[in-house]
Amino acid sequence: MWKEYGHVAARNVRQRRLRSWLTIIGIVIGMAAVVALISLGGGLRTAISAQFGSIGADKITITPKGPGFGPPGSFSTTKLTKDDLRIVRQVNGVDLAIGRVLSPVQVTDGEKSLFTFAVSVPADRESKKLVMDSLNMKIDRGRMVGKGDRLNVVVGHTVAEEEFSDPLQVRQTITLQNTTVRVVGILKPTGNFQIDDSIIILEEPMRDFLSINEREYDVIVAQILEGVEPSNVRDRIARELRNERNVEVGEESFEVSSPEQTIASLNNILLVVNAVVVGIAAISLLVGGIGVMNTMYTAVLQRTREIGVMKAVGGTRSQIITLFLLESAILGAAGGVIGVVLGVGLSQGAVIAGQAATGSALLQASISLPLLLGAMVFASFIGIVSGIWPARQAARQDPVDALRYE
Amino acid sequence: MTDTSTLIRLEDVEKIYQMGDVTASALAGASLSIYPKEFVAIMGPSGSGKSTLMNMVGCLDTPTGGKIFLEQQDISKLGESRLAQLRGQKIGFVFQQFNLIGTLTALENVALPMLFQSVSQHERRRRAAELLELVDLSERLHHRPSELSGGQQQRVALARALANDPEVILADEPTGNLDSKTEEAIMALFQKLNKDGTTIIIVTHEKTVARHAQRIIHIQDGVIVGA
Repeated sequence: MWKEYGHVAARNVRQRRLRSWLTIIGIVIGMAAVVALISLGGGLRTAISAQFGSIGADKITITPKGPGFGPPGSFSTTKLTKDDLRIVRQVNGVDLAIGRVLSPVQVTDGEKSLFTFAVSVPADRESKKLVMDSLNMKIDRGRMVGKGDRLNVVVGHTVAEEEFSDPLQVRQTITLQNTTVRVVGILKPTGNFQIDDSIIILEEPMRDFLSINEREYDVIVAQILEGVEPSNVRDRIARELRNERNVEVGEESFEVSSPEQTIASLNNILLVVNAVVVGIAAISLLVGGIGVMNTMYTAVLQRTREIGVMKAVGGTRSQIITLFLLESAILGAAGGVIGVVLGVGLSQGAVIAGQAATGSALLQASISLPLLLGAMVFASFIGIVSGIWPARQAARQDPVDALRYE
Repeated sequence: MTDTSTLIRLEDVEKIYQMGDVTASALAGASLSIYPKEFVAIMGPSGSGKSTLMNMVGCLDTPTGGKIFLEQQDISKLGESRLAQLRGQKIGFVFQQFNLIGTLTALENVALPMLFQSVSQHERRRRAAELLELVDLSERLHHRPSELSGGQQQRVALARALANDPEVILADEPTGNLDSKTEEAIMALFQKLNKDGTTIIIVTHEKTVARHAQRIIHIQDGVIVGA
């Protein structure tokens, strides 16, 4: 029965070709936007989790928390100190802890000079590995700085490739403030724009060149002993630092975070942003649904006489409702199929454009079968819901009046 | 009037339309009997109530008073869905305006009443083709109404009326939109169907049409004045 009813309904849809297409386009636009935004949002969350996942969940980061919103290294925050580092090192469960310094720095190559960040790394291998892992740093060309590299630096990917008119090369010299240093290595893109845009230098020369206080740190990174629960260690570190500074919970001038916590909060933010954006896109779906309703109401008016005939030849209310609902479902489903295809195309286009523009693979589209099927089912559902009132209107026609309708 | 052999029996049927404070009586106690295999013409001037009478007989409308029996079943109090089923199974309509569905082919138009009776697709197509052959349109199965002449459209409508093998065919001015030559051909077809055993009721105001009937029922001012 459904096949035959569908056949009659499809015939009616095709008959009003232009009007049907215009109605379908209304659904297509909404559906494409929703599918593209959901898949990009999902992809972004996956990419971010993967990025943080590569750092490892066994590292804890301690940063100053100031009254303002300044970036790390700015003066609005209370710096961490060597005493803090000593305390962190003594916390039960901490394997290794190192301090890092961040500072704005002027970099000059030939004519051009710019301000970016210098990031310190420790000289000994184990500590250096901890910093590199925690920041997802990997060498692209050349080598990492190590013991004795007083006048050598490594540059982030963006600094090397994009900031100067000619890309920086390994073994060339650049000027940091007033000191000439040699580039010995270039990093791969890390996905963190701050690191990609920074100069990596050993801690000692950095303090010298940039006149940074001996005792201050901007970040402390702690490696947790294997088999210890990160959140326990995190809480112990926070307690020890509170004791040292003599502050209560909630008054801390520092923040202790583990990657999992960061991922969770970042994911929450992304989820909310995604929900809002998809919600806005869904409004256009609503408008598309109203378009279907409008088309179906017009169809009921135009075909009043036809409805009268169908009733005269034995069509019951429910049979006529079925015919009209199938018609609106076809409009919705057609819009859903085309919209899903277009949405997938849009999200892939955005991924390609995003990679071309930023050079990072952070923007990904996560396209799953349930998403695609769900979108198509939802579009048909919108078609059916929008058709309910017009179909009831059609079925309620009095056959005598409908047959007389001009 | 209580005879059990009637196909359709009307007893004091009234139809009063209420329009605001004004009431208009379209039927004022009409009684009549129609027997199986009859060919009846209902005649009357416009406004006499013959369209209302036809709607009552055709289960399209329900009376405000009196009773209507279709094969001894009182249909005057039935609900809309039951009436639709009765129409589909027992009554075939032919209209002055043909009333074919423009988006469907001749074959699909003829098959439509069977769709509502859940006849299988194969059987629908077979029977529709057979009926179109009966009305001499086997060459036009896949034509749309707009590609057919008036006479051809009315023959498709006749084939559609026969689709569910009804007890009675109700025709409302079936030749009103046709020229006299085509009128003759359509009336000859009605006669042939009647000869084959189909009960036919034609509502008309044309004597040339009515003369094909075995019996003429006259209606005036909502009452039967001669049968």
